[in-house]
Amino acid sequence: MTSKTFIPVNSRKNWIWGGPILAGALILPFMIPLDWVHILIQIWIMALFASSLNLLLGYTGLIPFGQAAFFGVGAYTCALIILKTSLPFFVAILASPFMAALFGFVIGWFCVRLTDIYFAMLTLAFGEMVFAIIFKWYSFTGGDDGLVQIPIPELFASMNNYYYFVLAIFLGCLYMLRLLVHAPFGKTLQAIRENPERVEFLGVNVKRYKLIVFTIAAFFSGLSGALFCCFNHNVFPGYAGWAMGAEPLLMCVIGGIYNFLGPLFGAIIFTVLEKIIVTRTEYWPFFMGAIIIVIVIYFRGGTFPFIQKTLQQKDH
Amino acid sequence: MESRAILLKIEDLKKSFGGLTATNDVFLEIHRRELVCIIGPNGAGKTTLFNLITGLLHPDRGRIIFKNEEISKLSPHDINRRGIGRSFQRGNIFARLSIFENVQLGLLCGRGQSLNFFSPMRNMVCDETMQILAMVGLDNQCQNISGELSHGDQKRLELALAIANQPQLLLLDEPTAGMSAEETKATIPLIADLFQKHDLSIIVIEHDMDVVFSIFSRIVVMHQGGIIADGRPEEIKRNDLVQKVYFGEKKWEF
Repeated sequence: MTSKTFIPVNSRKNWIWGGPILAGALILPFMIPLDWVHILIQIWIMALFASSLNLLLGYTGLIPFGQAAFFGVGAYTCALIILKTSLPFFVAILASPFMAALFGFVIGWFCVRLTDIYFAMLTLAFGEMVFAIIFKWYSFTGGDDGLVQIPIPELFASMNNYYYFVLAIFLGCLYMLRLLVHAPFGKTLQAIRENPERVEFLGVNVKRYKLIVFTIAAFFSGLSGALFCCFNHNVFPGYAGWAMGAEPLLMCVIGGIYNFLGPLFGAIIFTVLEKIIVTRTEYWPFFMGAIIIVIVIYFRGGTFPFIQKTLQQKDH
Repeated sequence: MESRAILLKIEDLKKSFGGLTATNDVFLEIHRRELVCIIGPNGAGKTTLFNLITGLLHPDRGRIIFKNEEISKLSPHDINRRGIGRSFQRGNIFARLSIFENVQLGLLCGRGQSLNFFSPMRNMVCDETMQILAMVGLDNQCQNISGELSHGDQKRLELALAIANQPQLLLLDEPTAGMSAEETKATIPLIADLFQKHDLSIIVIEHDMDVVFSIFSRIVVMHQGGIIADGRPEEIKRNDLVQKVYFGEKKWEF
C-alpha cells in the first residue's frame, strides 16, 4: 500500500528545520571561506530551480525533462537585456521570470494534453528545441560561444552582497511557493497527482490546472536562471540543455519529492558532494553516479523525510 | 408540481464499443427529489450509462438533458459544475491525502474555491467538513491517511466526497460493492438519510436485492444495453420480462 512509505507533503515539522537552515544561511558567509560562499549561492539558486520543478514532480505528479529550457530562457533574457539594452539591472532580473513564464505557457499548452511518459518526452522535445534555437542563433544569443562578461551593479561586486541578494530572493520565492502548496490550489494539485480522473468529477479542469502550475514552475525556473546568469557573469546554451535539467530532478529525488523542503535538502547534498568530489578526482561523474544510486536505493522517498522519520522515532 | 420537475432527461441514447453495443434506445427521466435504483445483470450497460451521463463517455446517438440544457458533449468537469456528482464502483479517493483533506477539497471544489492560491487551506470549511465526516461516521479518524482505510470505509469516504461537492443529482455506482454485511447494513440507511436531508436526486446502481427493495421507490431494470422495465418495486417484482432475465423460467421470490 502506498501509505507505508508516505510522508505528508505539508509536514508541519518543516519549520523546525527551516529555522536552523535560515540562521545558518544568515551567518555562514562571515564564518566560511569565499569559495564556500560561492557554493552557498549556487545552492540557493539550484534549490529555487529544484523547488520550482518539484511543483510539477512532487505536487502534480508530472515528470518534466525539459525544465532547463525555462532556466535558460530566464538566463538569456537577463543577459540580453543587460547587454543589448540600457534598461536597469533590476528590470532584467524582473523581466526574466515573466519571459520564462510566457514560454512555459506556450510550451505547457501542448504538453499538458499528454500524461505520463508522453508528457515527459514532449517536455524534453520542447526543451531541446529551445536549446537548439539558442545554440544556432549566433547573431542574437552568441551561439555556442554564449554571452560573456555580463556586467552587474557595483553593489553586487562583493560576493557577500550578491549572496544576501540571492538569499533574499530565494527566501521570498520559497515563502510564496509554500503559500501556494498549502492553499486550495496546491492541495488540488496533489489531488490531481493522486487521481486525476476523480478530480475531474469534482469540477476541476485538470488540463487548465496543469497549465497554470506549468507556467508558475517556468516562472521560478526562469528567475533562478537569471540569478545564475548574473552569478557567473555569462550564459551558455548548456544552461538550457537536458543535462542542466537533470540536476534539479536529481536534487528533488535525493531530497524527497513529497516534502516541501526536500528539493532544498537535495540541492545542498548534491552541490556540496559535487564540490567535494570534483576537487578530488577527474572521474567525479562516476562517483556522483554511485552515490546517487545508493541514495535512491536505500533512501526511497528521499533523504530529508528519512532523517525526519528517524528523528521522530527517536523522540517516541 | 415544482418538486417533481424533470431534472435529467435521456433521449434515445446509444453507445457502442466496436461491435459491442453497450447502451441502446435508452429513454429515461429523473425528477427532482427522486431516489431511483438501476438494476440489471453484469454487462447490462448500467455503468456505461453513468459514464455517459457524467461525460466520461460521449454517446454515438441521442441526447442527455440536465436542467433543460444538453450536456451530451460536455467534459466531466463541466458536467460536474452543472450539478451532477458521482461515485465509482471501485473506491476512488485521494489515497495520500488525509480523510479530512479529501472531504475538505470536495467542499472547496464544489464552491469554486480551488483556484485560491494564497489562503491556507487548513482553516477553511473545517466545520462543514467535520459535519459531513460525522454523517458518514468517519469523523473520529479524520486525520488518518485515506489510503489506509478499509474498503468499506473508503467507499463511505467516497460517498462523503461526492456529497461535499454539493450535487443536485448524485450517481452512486454500487455503493455497497465489496462491503461486509455489517458495512452494507450501515451504508443503506446512510443513503436514505442523505436523500431525506438534502435537496437532491439520487440514482444508485445496486445488485443486492435486499437493499434494492428496502429503500427505493422506483426501480429501473436494464438488460443488454436497454431499459426493459421501469416502475415501483411491486411492479418490477411482477414483471415477467424481468423475471425471465434474472431467473429464466423460475419464479422470483422475495
